[in-house]
Amino acid sequence: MDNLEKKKKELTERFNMEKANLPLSMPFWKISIYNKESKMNDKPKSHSIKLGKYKAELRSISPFYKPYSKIFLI
Amino acid sequence: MALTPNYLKLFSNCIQTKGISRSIIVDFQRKDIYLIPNSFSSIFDEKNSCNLDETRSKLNIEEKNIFDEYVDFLIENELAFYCQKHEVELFPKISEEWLFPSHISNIILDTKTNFDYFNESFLKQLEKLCCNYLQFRFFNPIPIKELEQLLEIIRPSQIKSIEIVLPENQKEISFYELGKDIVKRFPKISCMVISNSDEDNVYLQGELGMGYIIKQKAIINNNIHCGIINYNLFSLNIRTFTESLHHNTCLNRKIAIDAEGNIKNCPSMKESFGNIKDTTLEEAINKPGFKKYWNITKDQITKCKDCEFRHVCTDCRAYTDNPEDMYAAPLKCGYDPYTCTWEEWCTNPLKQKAIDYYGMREIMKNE
Repeated sequence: MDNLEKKKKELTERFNMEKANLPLSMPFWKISIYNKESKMNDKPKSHSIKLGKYKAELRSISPFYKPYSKIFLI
Repeated sequence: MALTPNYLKLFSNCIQTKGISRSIIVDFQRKDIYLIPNSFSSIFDEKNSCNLDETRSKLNIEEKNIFDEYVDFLIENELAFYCQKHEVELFPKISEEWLFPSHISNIILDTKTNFDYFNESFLKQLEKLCCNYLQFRFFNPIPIKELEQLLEIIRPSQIKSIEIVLPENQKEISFYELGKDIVKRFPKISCMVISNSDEDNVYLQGELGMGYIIKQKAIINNNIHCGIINYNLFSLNIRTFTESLHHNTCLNRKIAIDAEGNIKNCPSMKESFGNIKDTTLEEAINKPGFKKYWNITKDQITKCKDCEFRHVCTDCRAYTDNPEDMYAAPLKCGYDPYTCTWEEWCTNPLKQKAIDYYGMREIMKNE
C-alpha cells in the first residue's frame, strides 16, 4: 500500500470513529489527497476581472449559488 | 433583579424544515444540516421560539429529560439561544423573499462538436437578459485551443462565472497541464470537470469555489446523464432556500441550448422554443409555455413535499418517476423520506418503467 492509500485509510477510519461529531454528509465524502503547489510557481494572476462595459471590474468572483445541472457529482 | 431566560429561540440563520418522518435545521451560516424529530420541531412557534417552562409543564419526567437533551443539543451547536419573552421580537426571521437581478440567471450550452453560434452577438443576447453564469458541456473531446478561443470571447464580457464539463482529450499531449494553464489564465472559471478520466479526484484545488479541475471516471457524452439528485448536490445557502420556497430550484430563470441548437428550459427537456440559428433567446423566453415550470415548488412535487431536505435540494423536471405528470418526483432521487433512507434509484422496481421510457438502461450499465 503506498503512502497516499495509507493516509486515505487512516482518514476514513478516523472519520468513522468520529461519525457522531461530523456532518451528516460524512458517508458520502470522497477523500482526495493533493499536493498544493508552491505559489512561487504560479503564473501571476491578473489583479482584476473585467465585466464588460462601464469598465466594471471585480477583485474576485464567486461561483453560481447552486448546481447549473446535475450531470456530475463533486 | 435579572429574569431567568425561559424562552428558547432559533438563530435567524438556522431554519427548520419539517418532513413527514423527521425535520432538519439548516445552519446556513456554517453550512451544516442537523436532524431533529418532528415532535421536537413542533415545539417552536411561528417566531421560531419556544416557552420552555410551559413546554416542560406538559411533559412527564422521561419526556422532560429527552426534551432537555435536545435543548442542550441546540445550545451546544449554537443553533438556538436562551432569551426572555420580550426579547423574541428583537430577533426577526430572515426575509423569505427571493430576488435575483436578472431575467435569466444561468445558461447551459451543450455541444457534440463546437459552439459555432457563440460569438459577441450571442454574448450581447445574454447581456440583455443579464445572464452572467454559464455552463459549457462538451460531449466529445475538443482541442484545448478551441476552448481557449471561447474563453477569450468571454474574458472582457459581463459573464461572471463559467463551469466547463468536457471529456479527456487523449489526442492532446499534456492535456491536464494545458487545462491547468487555462484555469489559471481565465479566473472566471469556477470549475472544469474532466470526464472519461482515469480516476475520480480533484486535479487542481481552487479557492473559494473558483479555479477547480475535477477528474471524473464517468463518461458524460449525452444529456441523459443529467438529473442526479444526491446529498452532495445540496445547496446550503439562503438564496437557494428562499428560491425553493417560491420557485423551481432547477428551472427557474434557466435557459439552455441543446447539442442540436434547440433553445429549451433544460437540454434534457423535450419541448423546444426555437433554434438558435433563427430564434433569439429573448424570443424563446417570451414564447408561451417557456416559464411554465418556473413556479413549481418542492411543496407541490410528489414525494419531495414530504421530504425534510426539499428546500436545500435541487430538482429535475426532465426525468421523473412518471413522465406524464409534471409534478412527479425526480427519477434519479434515491431518497425515501418515509423511511429516511438513501437507496440506489436505478434498482427501485417502481422506477423501471420510467427508466425504459427515457431509454436510460444502456447508460446505466456504463455508470
